[in-house]
Amino acid sequence: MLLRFVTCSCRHACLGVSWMRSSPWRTAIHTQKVACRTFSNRTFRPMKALSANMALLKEEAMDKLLGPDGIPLDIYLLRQTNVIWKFDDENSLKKWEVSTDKEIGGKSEASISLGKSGRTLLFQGSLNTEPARDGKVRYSGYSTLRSKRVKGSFGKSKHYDWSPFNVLHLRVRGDGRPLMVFIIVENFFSLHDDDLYNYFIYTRGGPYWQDVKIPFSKFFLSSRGRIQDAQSAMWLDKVNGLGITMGDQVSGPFKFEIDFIGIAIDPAHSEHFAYELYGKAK
Amino acid sequence: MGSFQWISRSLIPRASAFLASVPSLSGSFPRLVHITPTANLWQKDDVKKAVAMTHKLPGKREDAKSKEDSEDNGAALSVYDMAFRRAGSGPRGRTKSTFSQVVDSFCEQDIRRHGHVEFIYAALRCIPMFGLKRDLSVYHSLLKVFPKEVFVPVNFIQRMFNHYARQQECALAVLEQMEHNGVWPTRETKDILVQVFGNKCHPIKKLHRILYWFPKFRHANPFPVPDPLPTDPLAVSSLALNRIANDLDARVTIYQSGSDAIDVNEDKQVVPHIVGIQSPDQREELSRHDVNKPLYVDGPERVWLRDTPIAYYILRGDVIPADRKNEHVDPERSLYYPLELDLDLERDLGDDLSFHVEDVPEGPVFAMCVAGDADQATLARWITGLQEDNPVLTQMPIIFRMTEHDFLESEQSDGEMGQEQQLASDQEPEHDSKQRGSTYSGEARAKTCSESGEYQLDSQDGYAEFDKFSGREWRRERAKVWPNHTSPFMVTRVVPPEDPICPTLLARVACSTSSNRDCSSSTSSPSLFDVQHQVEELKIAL
Amino acid sequence: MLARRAASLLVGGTRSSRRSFWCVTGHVPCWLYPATDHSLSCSRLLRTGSVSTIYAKDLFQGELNKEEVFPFPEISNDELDELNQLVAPVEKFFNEEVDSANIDAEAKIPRELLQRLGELGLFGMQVPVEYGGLGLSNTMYARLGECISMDASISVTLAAHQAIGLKGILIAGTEEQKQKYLPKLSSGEQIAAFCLTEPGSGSDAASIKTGATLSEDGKNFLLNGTKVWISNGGIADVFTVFARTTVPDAQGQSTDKITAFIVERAFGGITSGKPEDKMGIRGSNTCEVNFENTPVPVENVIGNVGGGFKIAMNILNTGRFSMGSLCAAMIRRLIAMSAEYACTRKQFNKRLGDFGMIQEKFAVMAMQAYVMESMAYLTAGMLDRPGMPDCSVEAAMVKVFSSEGAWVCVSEALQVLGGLGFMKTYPYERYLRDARILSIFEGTNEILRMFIALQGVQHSGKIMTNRVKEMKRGDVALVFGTLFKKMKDSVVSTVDLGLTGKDGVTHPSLENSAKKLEENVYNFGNAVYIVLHRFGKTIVDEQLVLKRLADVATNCFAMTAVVSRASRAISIGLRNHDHEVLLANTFCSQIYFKNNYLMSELQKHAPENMDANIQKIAFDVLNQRQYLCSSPLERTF
Repeated sequence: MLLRFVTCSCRHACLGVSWMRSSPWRTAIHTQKVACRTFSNRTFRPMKALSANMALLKEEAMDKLLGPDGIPLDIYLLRQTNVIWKFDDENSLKKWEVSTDKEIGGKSEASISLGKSGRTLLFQGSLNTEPARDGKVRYSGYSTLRSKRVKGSFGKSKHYDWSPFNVLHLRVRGDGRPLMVFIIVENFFSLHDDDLYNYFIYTRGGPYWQDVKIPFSKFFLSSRGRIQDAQSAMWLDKVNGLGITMGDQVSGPFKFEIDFIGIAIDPAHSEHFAYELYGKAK
Repeated sequence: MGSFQWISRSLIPRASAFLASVPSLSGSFPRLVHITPTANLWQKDDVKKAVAMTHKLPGKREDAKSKEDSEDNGAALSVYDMAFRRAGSGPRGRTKSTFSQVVDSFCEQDIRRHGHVEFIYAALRCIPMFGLKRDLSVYHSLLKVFPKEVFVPVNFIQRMFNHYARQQECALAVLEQMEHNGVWPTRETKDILVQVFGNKCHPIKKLHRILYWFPKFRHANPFPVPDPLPTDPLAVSSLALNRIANDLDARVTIYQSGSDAIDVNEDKQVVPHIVGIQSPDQREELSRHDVNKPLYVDGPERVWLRDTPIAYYILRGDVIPADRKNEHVDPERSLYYPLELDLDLERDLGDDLSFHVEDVPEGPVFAMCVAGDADQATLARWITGLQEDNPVLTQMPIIFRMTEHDFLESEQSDGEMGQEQQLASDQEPEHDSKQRGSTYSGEARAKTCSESGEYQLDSQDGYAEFDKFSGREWRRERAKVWPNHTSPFMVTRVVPPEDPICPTLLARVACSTSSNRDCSSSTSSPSLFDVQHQVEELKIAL
Repeated sequence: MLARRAASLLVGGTRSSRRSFWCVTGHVPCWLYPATDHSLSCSRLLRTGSVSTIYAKDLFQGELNKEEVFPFPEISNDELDELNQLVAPVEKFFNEEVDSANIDAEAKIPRELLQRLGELGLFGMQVPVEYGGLGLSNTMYARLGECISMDASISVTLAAHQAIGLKGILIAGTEEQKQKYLPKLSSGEQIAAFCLTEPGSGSDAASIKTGATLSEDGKNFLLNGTKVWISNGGIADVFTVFARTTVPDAQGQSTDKITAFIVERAFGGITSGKPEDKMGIRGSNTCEVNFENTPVPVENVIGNVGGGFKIAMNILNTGRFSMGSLCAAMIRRLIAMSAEYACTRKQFNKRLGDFGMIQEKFAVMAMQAYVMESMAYLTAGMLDRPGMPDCSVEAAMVKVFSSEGAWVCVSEALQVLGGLGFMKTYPYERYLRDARILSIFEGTNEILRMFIALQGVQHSGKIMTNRVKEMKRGDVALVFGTLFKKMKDSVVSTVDLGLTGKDGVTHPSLENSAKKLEENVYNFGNAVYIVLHRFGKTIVDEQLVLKRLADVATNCFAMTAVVSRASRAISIGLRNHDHEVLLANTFCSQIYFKNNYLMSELQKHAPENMDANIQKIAFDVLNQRQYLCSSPLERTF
């Protein structure tokens, strides 16, 4: 395990911790420029940043008067469903970011746009499973759509609290290819920075919308692309984001449309966690 | 430490001896053998020399004029790769038996199995070339290359310190390739691994992981695709259409016309088909559709059945405005109990399980079809066939909205959508279907389809081999094999001329969800429909 | 013959005392309904609208209208004598001349038998005397129904003829129509049938396809269409047919509405299909009836053109209550027959009747019979009150309870006989097959539960709307008041709806049962309130909830009937009144716990509430249209 000091392009020296796992069969190691998170590439405008942050702070204060999370208490307590992401206008696209295996030298492409009706998110592109020729990468061919972290005032990180709910509900329209949906959960140790809770979405294809309902108990823990042995249920009280990956090892174009992503309470679902653990063999 | 020298000391002479022993090898040795047997391969300079001499730089097209060229030049990562390639280029070609022969001869020629790790890695690289990715016995044979009981730790210190780490890594690589290709290990796998590495090794742990997670997700797919896909194009089209129809009552119909028979050879006639699907609900909705509003034929859209894309076309209508959908319930509807209560109370939020999102405004879908290489004329043929069950179609105007991009490329590379074309009875369709068929060579295609059973090119030789084409060119080559964006599921049927099928203009063969027609899957017709024929027979009114 | 004479005696004109009620509680004799002198006797002008809500609908508010049900309705001594005189020949006829086994085997009722039934006057029991019928009250009709229930095929034939077949003419027909058709129908010369059901339309009136178009000369309607499963379809001469006609509505646009027609077979164009081969009631003729350009004179329209829907609803709602007495009589007979067997057959040196499980069966049968009788006669009594009350909900409750109870009891009686009960030599299997149709015809039980629950919820919903809205708005005083009341209820249950105590209407021996009834009714009112709060008008879609509401209401009505009847029995000292009180108390205790369980299932977060699971299972199964689980022998690897 190596600790490295990394300097970013600005004057500030940031400590970048990268844990290289001692797994000789690693799938892909990509060198990443550690971006300085404090300041962007633009010129730093202190007063403008301050006023923006004060506005956010005011909004947060007003929301607290209304109720938890800015929602009136009776709705907050009684609601059985909640729509987290809708795609009504261009601003909603800004909450999402797309990445492909071009980071590791692959040739897949992907992009997002609003669908034909202007009410959906269209995630499309093409996968190319040919790995980069750097001797280290063995598998390639993926593209990911991930929600951006929500920031509060003064860079405070905001989390979603999904604890009353137990089912993830997406209305999607795929083209028959399977995808993986993952949830990024807030962690305490930076060791767990690459931890994701994953599950599969199998699309039917065709012109009809598909309702995908995945109980949160079905999500399994993975880190850096590897399923972990020590599994545990996801903690829903501090969720940072959600993402969808296309990587079914088939080269070719794909198209995936999302109408909305929401969470719901399924009263018939009582499972806490779907994967049983076994003790170590003696 | 010790294992390093153990491998290096004995690698070269063993390797050269091994090469000589493989039967189908030619006499010349690869240039690798220029390094003297006594030299230590792991010295820096020698390594550089070896690299310079033996390896070619990737991606340069002038080096790779032909496959045979590259093979003889010895462009390989190791000696063992070459051995496999030599075996594969023999008279029997790349089959399981030639592969097994190489493995067996390695095992036989040295009881200590010197160089086995490198050999196994080379074999793993060559497995895709031989088309044995999903064969469990091949992986077992590779695991059996490990000498038995040598690597089993005998005391607690050995158990602590990752005994024979390189070998364990190699076995893990074998298991990982099995996992990647979806091959399920069995008891025999475990037995072999236990004999080789003992009970508590990393490969056994990985085996346990595979056998824990694989069964959990085996039936996770609510829309499973049969593995392997059926070869009959009709079955595959039916499969695709039933999948996307989302209705258990939908029925697949095959439209064909005897007068469309195309003479391929003297003794063969091909009668092309269109496979369509419609459910009773769709039929009912179509019958209630406003006759003055146009219908649209959209396409081709793509649906994937595991790794095979299939083009389909949709017949749909305009968006229905929202207020029309809410119909007040007639109070004189139910004879026994009221269907609506006259109360001013709404549902409580705690019992409201619906999402407060408006429906995406989209037109209703009335029917879908798979028509292979379809142009407007072909689809018009489909519409005519639909008219039998939906007489109201004869009065409706149909607008064809066909997208013009390369079917196998993603849509984002094309800026524009296809133009809308309204069909007039005397207007020639803009796409000339004959032209599209010109670059096709039918025999080559038939061979590819029937041989491997999977509709994938075999030219991908794995990552050790430098591909001749970049990804883009590979796709182009693929497009060549399936000309003009047709999937091999262009539905045709070979018919002897004495027995013309369907003497009537449009004979419809209704096919249920699970029937498998026994027509041959030879797909050898370049263009489905003669344009002139079509235009005369079209009866779609505006 | 005798019956005719008895009927004519009844018709004397001076007898109007059929409508006097005596209240005997041992305290103060009170005249609830003074004797009426007007000769209502024969012509019953049945109105189509409801006049008073009576009893069942107020249960949904948690209110017990004890004046309606206490005391148990009685008939006068004279009426009782006349009734017995009516009943005797009918019973003799059924005992001696009707061969049920033969009717079942041949799947046909002999023509002579039908003639004899006509002579006994059984074809027009509720038809007023001036039209040739017997003009019986509902109570008497229920009593006669008990005799007729000896043979199920005959009772279904008669019910199809008079309870629905000619009811339309009776309820909404004009004088000319009545004069023309009722005499022949009442004498049995002509038989009536009710034609509503079509292949695509069971309870959905919108999918009725039979159409009637006015001919060019405007004198006839031409009827075209097919009706299926018409009882008496093959032997009937007069049909009440419901068909679609085009009428201009309020805005002037033409819409399709249903109209009721009287159609005679003599009009031509009517063909009946082959009689259906049925599981039970095989003697009754059920077949398909086709109408092909049948000319129906415009005078034969019942009510208005386009007003057929309401007529159909009223006909269907009024014929139901007699099933209670029918089923009760059948169970009485079964008890007698199977008890005979149980007390003679010996195993292990003990009589079957000494074994606990067999004893339980008899107890169940006795209780069920008692309850059915009580409910049926209570409803009949309520219907016989002046003012034509709307007891459709009570009648539906009787039907639901009786049909399901009959099925269970017949099954148990067969079980007592074991293998013998299964053989055709004994009538049990015939009774079982005949009993199966009870929960299907005259409105399937599922639909009737919806009817009961929705009528009740609609009625109480109107009253509770304001209360619910204030609660939702979060009126603090109201919230705290409700909370306090709930806490008080959970600690101290002092529900007093007036059945017991100083001014109570029940006999002290039934005090416990009455208290249980009160508690159930009070909690039921609260449950309905909560349900309205949760679902509002979308409760129409929550069938599982509505089913429970209907079940609780039916059980409460059953308890009321039983308590009322037993109270009267012990007060006036009927024979075996102690046995009646025992039956009443046992039944009430059992049902009290069942009701409590049903009401706890209604709560949203109760562990007993499995509604969401049930719906999820059903959704998964129906999506794939098959059983989903893998075989227990399957492997994944």
